[in-house]
Amino acid sequence: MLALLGCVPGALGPAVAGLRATAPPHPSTPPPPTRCASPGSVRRPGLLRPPGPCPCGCGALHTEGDKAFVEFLSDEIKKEEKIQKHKFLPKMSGGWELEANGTEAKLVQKVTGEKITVTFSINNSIPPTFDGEEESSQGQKVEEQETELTSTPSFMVEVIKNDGKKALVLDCHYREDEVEQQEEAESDIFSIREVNFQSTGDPEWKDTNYTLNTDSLDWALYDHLMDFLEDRWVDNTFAGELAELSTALEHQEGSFVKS
Amino acid sequence: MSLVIRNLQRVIPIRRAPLRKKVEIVRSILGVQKFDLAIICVDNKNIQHLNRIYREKNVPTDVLSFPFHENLTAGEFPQPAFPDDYNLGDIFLGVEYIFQQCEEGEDYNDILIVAATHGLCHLLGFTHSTEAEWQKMHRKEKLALDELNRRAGTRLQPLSRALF
Repeated sequence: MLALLGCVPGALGPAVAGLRATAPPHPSTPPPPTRCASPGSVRRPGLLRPPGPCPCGCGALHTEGDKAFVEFLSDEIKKEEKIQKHKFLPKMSGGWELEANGTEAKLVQKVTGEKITVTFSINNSIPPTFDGEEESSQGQKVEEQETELTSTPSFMVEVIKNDGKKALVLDCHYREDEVEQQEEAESDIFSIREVNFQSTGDPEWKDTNYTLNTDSLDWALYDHLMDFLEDRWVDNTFAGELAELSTALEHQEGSFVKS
Repeated sequence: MSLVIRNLQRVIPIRRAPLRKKVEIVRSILGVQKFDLAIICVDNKNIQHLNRIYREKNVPTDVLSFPFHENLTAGEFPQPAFPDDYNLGDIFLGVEYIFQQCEEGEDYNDILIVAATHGLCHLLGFTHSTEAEWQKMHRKEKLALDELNRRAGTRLQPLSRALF
């Protein structure tokens, strides 16, 4: 404050004297703008300008906004811990081996003559939900219920036959419940969206390889592809367990906010 | 025209391709291959829910049919005025219930076809509320399944054989 007062030009002397005669400013009043001696360096009021480094000594910037953010995140973490079903990652039935690498995970199964790999990412895997308040028959608003968010990642199934040079890749997606309030949805739990062959020798995905989109695929062929997956334990049960596993992984990875 | 098969349950494994192949044959035998049809496989919980809502029976069942064209006379073909009306409706198969009802020696996949055929006859106006209606329906089912047996080498019997 004393340093700032040193910048006030002497021409303001009578005005300052006049101000001294009035009541002292309320403590919550923001400090008046100060003008340094050098031209063109007017300082704006400190409403939006953050204060200096936190006196805790960490050297970082701590603002009121940061404090409110931390409080909000702490509440969210407590809520997540409350609804967290699994302390450990749930196991998939059918002998799948899990390899997790951050947000990406692989489930691998080896059977006679084939290696089946299911790859998925938990990033952007939670579909949006529509929160709504319902009115009870008495007309009173009911509090929003805490809904459990389920991760339903799209997943890629890769089937490689032993000594095979090609991998059959099927891109699968969970059903999208477009309208939450509809009655029972009448679509498959998951669907195959694209089918592709990739060379096992190439480390990179080749966009130039032909991709079959199932939108316009013959229904009978589509059913054969679904049966193909079913024979390799990629069925509705698998899809249900994968969603549970992905949700548990998402909880695990999302806890980075704790740090 | 199109036969849509959906599997909404996780309890019983479903082989979609053979189900489709045989239902397509039955459609052709009954002369309704130009009409859209949906077959939806559900578990006990869901079929019981539907049974409760639409028939006020709070128990699971094997098949429920929801006709697109209501009030058809048994065996009458729908006469659609618009292309979108070439639709027979939806057949819900209670696959878990069907599996549980399978007797020893019975092929579960065969019973699915029988249930689907039964459902298809319902969509065409056949019912079995009275003995006379049942006889008509049983005759139609038997005709369809006998022809299917001849074409596909199966040995299927109508679902309605034990109703009266």
